[in-house]
Amino acid sequence: MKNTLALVLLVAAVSASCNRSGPAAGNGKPTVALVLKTLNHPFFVDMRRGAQEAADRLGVNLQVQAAEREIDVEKQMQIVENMIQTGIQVLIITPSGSREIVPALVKVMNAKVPIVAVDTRLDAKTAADAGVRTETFIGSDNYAGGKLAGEHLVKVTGGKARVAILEGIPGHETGDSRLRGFRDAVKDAAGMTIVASQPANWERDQGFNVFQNMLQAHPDITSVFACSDLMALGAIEAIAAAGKTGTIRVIGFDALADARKAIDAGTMEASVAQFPSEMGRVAVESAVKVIRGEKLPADIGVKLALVTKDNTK
Amino acid sequence: MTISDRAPALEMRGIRKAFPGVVALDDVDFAVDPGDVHMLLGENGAGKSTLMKILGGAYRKDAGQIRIGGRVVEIESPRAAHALGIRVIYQEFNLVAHLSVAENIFLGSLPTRWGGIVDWRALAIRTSHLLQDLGMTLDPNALVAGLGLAQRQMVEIAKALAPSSAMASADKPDAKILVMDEPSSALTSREVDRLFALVERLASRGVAIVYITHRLDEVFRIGRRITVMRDGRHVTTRAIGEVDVPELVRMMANRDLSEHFPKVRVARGAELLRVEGLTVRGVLSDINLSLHAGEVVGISGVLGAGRTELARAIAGADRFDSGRLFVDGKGARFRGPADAIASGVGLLPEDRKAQGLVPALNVARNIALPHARRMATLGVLPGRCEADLAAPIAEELRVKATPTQPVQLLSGGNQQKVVLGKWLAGASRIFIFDEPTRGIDVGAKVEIYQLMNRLAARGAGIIMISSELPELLGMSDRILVMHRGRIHAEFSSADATEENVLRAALGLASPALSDAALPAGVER
Amino acid sequence: MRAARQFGTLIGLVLLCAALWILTPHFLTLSNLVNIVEQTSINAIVAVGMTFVILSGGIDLSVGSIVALAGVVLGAALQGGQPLPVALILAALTGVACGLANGALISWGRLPPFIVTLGTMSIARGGALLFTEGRPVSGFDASFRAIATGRVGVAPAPVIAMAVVYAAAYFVLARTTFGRYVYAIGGNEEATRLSGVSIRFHKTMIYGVSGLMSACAAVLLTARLNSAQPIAGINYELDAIAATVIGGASLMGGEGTLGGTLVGALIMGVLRNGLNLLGVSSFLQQIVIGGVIVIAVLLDTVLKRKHRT
Repeated sequence: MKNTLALVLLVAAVSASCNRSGPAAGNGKPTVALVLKTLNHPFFVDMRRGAQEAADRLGVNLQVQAAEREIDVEKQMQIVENMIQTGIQVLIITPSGSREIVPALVKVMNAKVPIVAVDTRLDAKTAADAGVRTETFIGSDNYAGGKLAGEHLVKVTGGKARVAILEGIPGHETGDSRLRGFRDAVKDAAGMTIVASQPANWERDQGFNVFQNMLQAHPDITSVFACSDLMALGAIEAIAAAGKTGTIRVIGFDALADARKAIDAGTMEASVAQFPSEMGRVAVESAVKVIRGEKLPADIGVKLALVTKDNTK
Repeated sequence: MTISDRAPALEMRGIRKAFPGVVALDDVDFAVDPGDVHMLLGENGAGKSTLMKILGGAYRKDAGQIRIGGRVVEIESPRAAHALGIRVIYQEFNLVAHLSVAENIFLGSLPTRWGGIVDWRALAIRTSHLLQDLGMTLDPNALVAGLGLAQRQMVEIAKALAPSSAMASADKPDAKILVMDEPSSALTSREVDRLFALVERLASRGVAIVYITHRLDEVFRIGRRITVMRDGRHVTTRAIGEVDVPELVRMMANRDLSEHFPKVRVARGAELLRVEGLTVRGVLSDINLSLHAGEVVGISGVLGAGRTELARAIAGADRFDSGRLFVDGKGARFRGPADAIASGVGLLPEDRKAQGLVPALNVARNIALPHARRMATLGVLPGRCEADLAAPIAEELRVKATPTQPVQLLSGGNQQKVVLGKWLAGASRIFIFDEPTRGIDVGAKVEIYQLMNRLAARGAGIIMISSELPELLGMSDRILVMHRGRIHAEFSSADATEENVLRAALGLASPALSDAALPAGVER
Repeated sequence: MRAARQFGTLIGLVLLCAALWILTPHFLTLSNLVNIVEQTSINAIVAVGMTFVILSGGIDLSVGSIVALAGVVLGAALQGGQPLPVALILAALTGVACGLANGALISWGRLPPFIVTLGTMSIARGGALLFTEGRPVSGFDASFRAIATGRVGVAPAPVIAMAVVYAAAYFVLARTTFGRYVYAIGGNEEATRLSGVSIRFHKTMIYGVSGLMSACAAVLLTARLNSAQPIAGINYELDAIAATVIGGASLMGGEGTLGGTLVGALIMGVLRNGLNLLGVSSFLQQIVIGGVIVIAVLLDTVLKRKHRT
């Protein structure tokens, strides 16, 4: 009996601590859902900030939800299903799995809610087979970003380097594209040898461990490309632990604040900057256009830039 | 001179303690002077251990008064007892195997520096002082896990006597009262000599020592005074010079035979079970016995004599190293309890809660547990088969509960009936009852005795292990007495008296059984 | 008394629903309720296996990894052109084999369940990643996806599957010797052994059941995502343990019911759904769910203590 009382109290406490209105509580504002991969990554935190600023400016009621872990598609799928129930007008999503999220989006389509994809593309074939159509895709070109990183490395090493690569979770479009871009950029330079390429699953501590192991196996590594800054920062710590700071060039991706500091300090060579808050802003603006019935281009590119010691700001 | 110098170190008056269904202690008086070595004697279940557990704070008394050094105290916890200078060394050791001797001894009061860092130097110094003072040759750094039983005993004693602060020393120990519960049971004779020397030394320093033992020879070697308990009551307290062995045995055994034993004798039938040369290394040696239809064979002995181990070995619960079993004259091999059950052997285990019952399951399901497989078709139990099986059994045993009540809600007597019911429900003919009436009320006891009569009349054979001599004498056709893993004596019901059974259980009847003549392995 | 406690958990679920009904208009709609049960089905099925294991006094940490391994075996078989029944049998065999291996190590190897299943958790996960080289296996035909997308009336196929699993498991627990021994072993292993029951055999089978349930969940999950991921099922063991203990099972074994576990799983599902509908931040959601688990078990313990004295 007390059991139940406690539950009720909990729910009451929660409802008091969140805004009472809940999603789609109306007052005339359009409701847009932003479903992120996770909120414990600075990238997505920035994206939410940009989206929220745009929503406030445009008078949109923005509902932000995310799974606890970036790779938990099933949880993201549940969130999408639950959001449909609240009568949202547009769904903005950063898919945790470009194929796996498609069945959930079928339900979104059936509920006649338009979809805007951000950062990670849906797998074209899976989406087409299932009849899922996104209004637009907003993101930077990860392939181009990888290529940018590769070209920079070739330039600063004079085309001679023994390179290690820290990959993201295998099978994820984002990481795969960056990887392809990087490999394509370095493959023509004869002096560039990729001596190791292993996944570190986007995580900082795994970046540390995996790179430490790589250094054991290949003490002659001179450069590292990490598909994300978190992994790159892990690798930098592993380099410091091995007493090799300054002898190995590290290039990351995302240009996180910590990465910029590392570039300033000289422990990191460069990082490919994406502009997640820009993506969030454009996503919400696009959602508003969808509600107004305006046509959108299939692809909205958000700029990329290479951050090096010269332009960390 | 303060009061406490003249008053007894310990005075317990009118102590009473009841457990559900049993009065364990009834108006017990007990006093020990400083420097006394006081022997506390009595049969199993006489209440000695309960009394000492009350002193040690493990149990709370229901009534009575305790004075330490003349001052009335309430002992609410083992911690409180410790603070009062009471140290109890129980039969089961309380040591942390993977810590060193020194760490164990000072576990509660490790010397520290800078608020929390163990001062290993001080620990080593204090430990070696203490051990030296006690005349012990233990390595303070040895792990307890690597010590033998005798050495562990020494660690227990050292721990009990360890000063709780650097101020106190072994010359003026914190310990005022030291209780030792059968401390010699695991020791060889040389180790016993060393233990006694230590006891003498402590007594000369004014520590009041309470010494519980079953070995009467020890009583006269180191005892100064004795107290005998029986059936939860105080019988007598005397100086050691005032008694001799026969009188002591009589005082321990003599009782009012108020309990009623409705023994019905049945003509002895064919042999159901024969045990030949059964040996479990270190526990049982060369046990031979037979059990016939219609017969109740009682087994007596003090704690640790090997009675329960024998019961479990016969019932397939534990393996044995050598020996043979015959059921109905044919050799039988039990690889586990299932085989024994199939041969008609039913074991009523010593500890019904730990071994006999599944507390959360209901009465019917407990009774049906050994028979579920037999009743099922392809693993599926037909509708009400468990209830149907259990109902007549529960009725015969007069279990005061519905079949759907979880047994954990039943009284001790009813729980014991449920365990009995498990074997009545099957085709068991060889019953092994290990302490069948422990902790249950008199009414239920008599019902169990009557059930034994009925089983015997139906042609079953019963082995009854009991620590209650009157029950054993009252219900058995023959009594086997075990001592240190052997069958030490056998009495027919006509010859058996409390006195001679108790003498045999204490190892007195056979002068041949000294330490030197012990069978290999029994010496633990 | 025990019935009253289980009833209490159910009332807890009803009151939770009532509170959400008051707080948000989107909660009490047929489509949302169906949605919740569908979302709960996978955890609820894994929790059936966990209930068997916990009733017997054990623990199974490997369920999530077995979901992943059975899932990728299923996915690979389907992509390799095996007919659906063959693929399903292969997935089931994978799950059962992992479970039996757990059980055998626990009963014959005399190792603690926690350690054994912790090891299997890592081994099965590694196996799934190795087998797929870390990549998801995706894209199955409609007949397979119907396992997740099909409907009977308003009831989605996963809900039907869950109902069937619960009915079967309930029958096993209530009406078979195996079910009786599960409770008996957890309630008092020694007493059960002395009653002539083979502890080792039945313990091994109990973990086999858990493995089979993980395989069932893997089928549903793979169909639902239209993809078999080697990283699927992370933390499923925690959700399943939570559902089981919220449902009133004792981690000491011997006490608990399947009905309680289902209610426990539904409480977790309703809570997650409700917190989404209310727009509660994902960080706060974790705090609330953790709080509910601790409070449920705390109350359970307090009630039991009161009950015993």
